[in-house]
Amino acid sequence: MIWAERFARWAVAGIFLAAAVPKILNPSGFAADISHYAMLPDGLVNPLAVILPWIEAVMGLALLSGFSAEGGIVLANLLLVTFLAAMGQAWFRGLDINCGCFGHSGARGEILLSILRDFGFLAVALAALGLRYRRNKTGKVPA
Amino acid sequence: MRRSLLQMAALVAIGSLVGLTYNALSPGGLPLRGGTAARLAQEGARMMSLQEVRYYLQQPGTVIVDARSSEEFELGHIPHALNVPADNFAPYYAKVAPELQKAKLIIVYCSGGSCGTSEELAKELIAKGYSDNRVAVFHDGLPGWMRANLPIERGTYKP
Repeated sequence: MIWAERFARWAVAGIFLAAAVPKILNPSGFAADISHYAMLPDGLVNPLAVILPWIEAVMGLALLSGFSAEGGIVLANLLLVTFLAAMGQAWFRGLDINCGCFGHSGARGEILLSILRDFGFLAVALAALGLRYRRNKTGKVPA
Repeated sequence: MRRSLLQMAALVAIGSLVGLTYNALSPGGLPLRGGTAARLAQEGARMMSLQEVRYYLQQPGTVIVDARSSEEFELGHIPHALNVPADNFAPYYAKVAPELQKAKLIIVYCSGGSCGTSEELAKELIAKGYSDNRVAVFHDGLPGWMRANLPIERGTYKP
């Protein structure tokens, strides 16, 4: 059970670290991707493009190392739900955009695939969260 | 639960702090204020409102370019627009290059704020050497033009 929780946590860490690096390297492209969702006031787009990839990176490192892993896995679940909501509204509104999840690609028409992929990521993150709390309850991790 | 929330807040705070510091120290850091207009300016393009587009279209040397696909262009576009789909830049650019090279100002547009093709096209043009603010992005695009009840043209572009 301990190893199942670790594998799930490391998998989520890998996903978020892989997503963070291209966005850190191209903040302008990521800002463009955020603005195409047409959800946020224009003034918030650039600050979010600057800080969100680093939150993902710091959280990924926390999940990988196990330091603040509990908060990290809760945050990962919250972020994935937020991303799904953002993509869901884009799909519902018929926006032909690139999800921007793993950096700026310029490709479009893939939002539904990104939603399905994120549901898979969320399943892994929920498993990591459940296993973590189970470990805490059984006392194998100091509370 | 309380511990999880505190850890989560700490991760968000550390990530935000590192992000802002990294951005401030990097040479190509994103402008935090000014939104899309500031980002485009950093890339060498400017953002235009509908009023500005209408003004500049009446000035000699202004060319307007539709960045959407040829199928979308055929269904309706801003009058006198050229068509250079950002997804298929090279062959379409070759057709209109002589006109673009003569232009003092090139305004690009697509389907409004949620489409990225006008920005992609602007970047391609800037990479071709159309710099010094010769490239402008009409961010509201065709929906903005139509909301103002301005006329549109239909049919293919014939150079």
